[in-house]
Amino acid sequence: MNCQALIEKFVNDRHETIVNQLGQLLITKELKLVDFIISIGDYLQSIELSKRSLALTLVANVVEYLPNTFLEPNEIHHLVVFTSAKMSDHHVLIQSCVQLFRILAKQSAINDDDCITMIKSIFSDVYVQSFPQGSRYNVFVILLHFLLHRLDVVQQLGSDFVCNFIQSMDGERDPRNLVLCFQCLQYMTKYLDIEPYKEELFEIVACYFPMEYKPKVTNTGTEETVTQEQLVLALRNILTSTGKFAQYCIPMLIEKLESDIPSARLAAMDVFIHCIDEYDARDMSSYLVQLWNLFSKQALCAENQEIEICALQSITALMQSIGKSIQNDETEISTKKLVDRAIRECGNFLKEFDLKLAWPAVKVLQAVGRANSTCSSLIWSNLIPSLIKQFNTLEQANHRRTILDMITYFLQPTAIRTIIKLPSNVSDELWILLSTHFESFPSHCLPLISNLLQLNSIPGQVLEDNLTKFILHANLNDELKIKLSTVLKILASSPTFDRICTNLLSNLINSWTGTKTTPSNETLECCIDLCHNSERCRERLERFFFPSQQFIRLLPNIFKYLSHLYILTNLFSPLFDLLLTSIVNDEYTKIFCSKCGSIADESCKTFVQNFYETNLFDDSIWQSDKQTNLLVMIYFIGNLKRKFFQHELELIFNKINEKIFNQSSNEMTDIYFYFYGNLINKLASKNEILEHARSIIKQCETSPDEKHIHLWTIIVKALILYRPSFIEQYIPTLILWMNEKTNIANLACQSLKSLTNFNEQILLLSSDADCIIHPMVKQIMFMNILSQMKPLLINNELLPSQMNVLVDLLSNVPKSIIQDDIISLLPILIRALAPSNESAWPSALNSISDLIKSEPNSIVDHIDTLFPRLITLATYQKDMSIRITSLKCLKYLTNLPTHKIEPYRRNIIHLLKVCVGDHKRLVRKEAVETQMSWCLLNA
Amino acid sequence: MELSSGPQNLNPTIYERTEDRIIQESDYDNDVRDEIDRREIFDLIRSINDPEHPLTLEELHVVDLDGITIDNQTNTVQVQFRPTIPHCSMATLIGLSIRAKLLYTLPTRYKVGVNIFEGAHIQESQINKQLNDKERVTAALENQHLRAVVNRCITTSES
Repeated sequence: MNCQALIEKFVNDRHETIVNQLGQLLITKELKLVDFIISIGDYLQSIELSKRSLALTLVANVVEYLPNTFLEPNEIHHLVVFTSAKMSDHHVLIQSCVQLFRILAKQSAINDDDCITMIKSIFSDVYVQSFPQGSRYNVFVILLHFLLHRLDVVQQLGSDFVCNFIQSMDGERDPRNLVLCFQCLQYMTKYLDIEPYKEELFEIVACYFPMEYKPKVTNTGTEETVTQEQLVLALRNILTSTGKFAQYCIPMLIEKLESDIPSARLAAMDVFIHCIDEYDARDMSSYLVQLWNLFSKQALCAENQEIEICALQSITALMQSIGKSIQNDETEISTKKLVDRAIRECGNFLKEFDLKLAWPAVKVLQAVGRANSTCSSLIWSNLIPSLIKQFNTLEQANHRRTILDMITYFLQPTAIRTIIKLPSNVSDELWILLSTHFESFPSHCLPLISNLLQLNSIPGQVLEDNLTKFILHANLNDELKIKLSTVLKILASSPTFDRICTNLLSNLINSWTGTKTTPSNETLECCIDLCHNSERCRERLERFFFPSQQFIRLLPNIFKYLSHLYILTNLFSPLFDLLLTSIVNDEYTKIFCSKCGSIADESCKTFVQNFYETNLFDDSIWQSDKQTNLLVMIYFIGNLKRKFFQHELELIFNKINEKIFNQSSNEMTDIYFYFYGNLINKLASKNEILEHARSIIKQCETSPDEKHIHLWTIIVKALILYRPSFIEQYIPTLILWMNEKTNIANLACQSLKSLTNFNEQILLLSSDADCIIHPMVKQIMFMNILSQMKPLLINNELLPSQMNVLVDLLSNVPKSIIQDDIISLLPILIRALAPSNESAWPSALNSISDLIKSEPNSIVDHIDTLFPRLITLATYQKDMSIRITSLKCLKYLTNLPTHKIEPYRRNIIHLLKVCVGDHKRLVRKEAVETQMSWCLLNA
Repeated sequence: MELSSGPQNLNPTIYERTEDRIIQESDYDNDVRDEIDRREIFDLIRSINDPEHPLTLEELHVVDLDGITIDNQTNTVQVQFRPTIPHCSMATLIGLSIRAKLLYTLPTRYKVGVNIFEGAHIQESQINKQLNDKERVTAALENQHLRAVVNRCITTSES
């Protein structure tokens, strides 16, 4: 079919495939563009408007089909001239013209003059805002394209472009177009001369502030939607893009800050925080005090944390912006003046620390201080001495604690702190205060010490004595331990405190060598903390501890500070025997070996190879009498990285593959099986390994007993983790076993439980051991299991063990997967609360509690059976978590319609009288909340 | 117990809230018995709302930890509170709210006494007498209007 015929067919039938056919003809050079245009010429000049429009659309579609590099400059030129002439032909044609322009603009051979013609034509002939969204979108795409790729051309047009763009954009409301417009504006403010139109430009943007847009919910989900965040960010970027907007923007922000709407205030503060990079303090000099007042008011009386954080950041931004400008004490652009104002206004609140405003005031002053070094020095030298004085005059311990907390807060490290020095008099006073009161308030002094040390303030001898005494004598709780550890790590990390560290270590070691006692775990942990430093770790390690048996189990904690080779050659290898004798506890072995394995990357290849040669093929190591030896081996090998040790892992797999069924049943068997699973998982990409694994699974299935089902479970799990879809093949076998009337049913239930339990990570089958874990394993597995298990779930004659495992399964499944099924499964959950199913209670209660909380109405039909069971469980003495969850369920039930639950009210309030007298405080707390919900049911 | 139309103390002093009770490891041990202590009673009443202001009794310093005594041997609880101003007409209502909250949430074995701090109110003795008269308290809580006001005070955001 020739070109003419194709064109006619398109005009008559509007067949879309014709566009492709014509495009293909042009690409293969069977048709020239000139010939195509000549052929379509009659239609383009037809007196019928519809034909002209259709012809133009065809041209646009055909050109769109062509690659971006296809057209020659002269072809583009003629098309541009032709299209811009068509613009003034009729308004109906403009949409097709704009489409054609968009395609031409992207042609790489387009020259500058054609670009200018195109832009001018768009600005003069297209009344953008009178067109539908699609065409407006095309216009903005063209303009953005030129701004991005032909900036030099746009710059030739100068501020005319800005003026015309403002007219085109004025009144734009579609979010998709706005995103484009905002992008264009960002480039314009940056690269074009906006000076003559800056006010207009600001106005056109400011009318969208604060941006409030809720995306429509689309059912298809495929359509690309614009998000609120995207628009907010784009708008903020323009407002903050140039200092020229400052004179208009700041008054607008002030107006929004004064409004009652929290979202508007938040948006205004957000813009302010980001504008200081571009805005100069001189541009806002007349508003500085007003801004300070507004921000400090927001921070002091914040309705919520979000506003407080924003206000504090704004205060810091304000101070930073002043700090950047040339200081002039005669005007408001003076850091000192504003800091004085802050101290004058907020300082008084610090004296009344029972009042609600004390802490907000501290936060405001700290926000001022963290802006820059001048602010910090001013705030510190003004406030800290007076706080110390106040501390010394006060008598109440809790007031003193508050003051210590306040000082700590003022001195907390921020991004700029590294270059600031604490005034020496303040620093000295603080160390004196700390040395005298350390024993009375250790929990409050330790954070203060950390902050002071981070400011490189050098402590005196007293600190070492205090800390030594504290570590050796105090009975430390977890909170104190963390604080102490922070202090010690800071001491260890800086060369400045080398002397203190060495002295402390000597003191601590003397304490147990001198008295020949065993150091406590806490003391040893402190020593480890003091070794934390890449440079000094080795030195201190060798000088003070090495080798000490007690110390070995703590070694892994400092591994990250030592080089891998050092650990493997100096610690692991020569100490291997020592390790085997000292690491008897399974937990320590696991930790030690997993740490060793996790660092075993390529650099350790030689070590591992040697290790293999000497140990791996030595059959004696696999004898069961040397269990610890084997355990260490298993954990170490199990942790090796697939990437570097594929070959070694294969060797070991082949070695143990023959022996897997010969294992005698002892406590090692379990770990041995998991190790086997670990290897299968890591090597599963190899077909022969997969075949091996399958044949072992088959062997297990032929004689299902305890050992074989256990092995079956582990291997299946290893395979599922690698590829979750494998579960399909194995679930039927499991269901078959579960329906057996023998012990196999129980074993199968256990097996399903361990297959579906992802909460307890087994070390040898986890990503830590470099196993392959499919990212969607949970979803795919649960979907499969649930779909295959439904008949079993609805079966009314479930055995207790089956009930247990199924209820557990439901509580493990991510809620989004079973959302639709859970209501149909509700009777099973309620049945699981019966007295005979004690072990299923926790899972069932959790599932029910989640369900009542999210969809209370789904439970309405079952409340007659549910209430008596919950009432019984709320007083179940053996387990407090069951009591708490039952009470929670009872509380959530008050959200049901009143007429449904009113009949139970008296009974439940009566029952709760017993619960509020429970012997556990946490249960009482829950009972009180539940009691109040029921008592105030109609209030 | 009459309710006046507008707030009497227009500009009350607001105090910092104490931190929530820290949960210890032993709190999760079902075999350890946790006795009810002063702090627990305080936690029950600290969140009661003031009838006049959108603030809690704790924030207005009407109740504090020092004003509470508990004796688990004799099963008695004494709560003392401090009206923000000595002529506060809401004092009885506040006392009634405290009583109501404890009535609903304390185990029945406790005998509760609610009193005003000595010298904190001009009608201290009269109010104390009212608050500790069981019949009058019951009668007050049966009054529909008064019960609604009390319920509003003891409703917390969680419940």
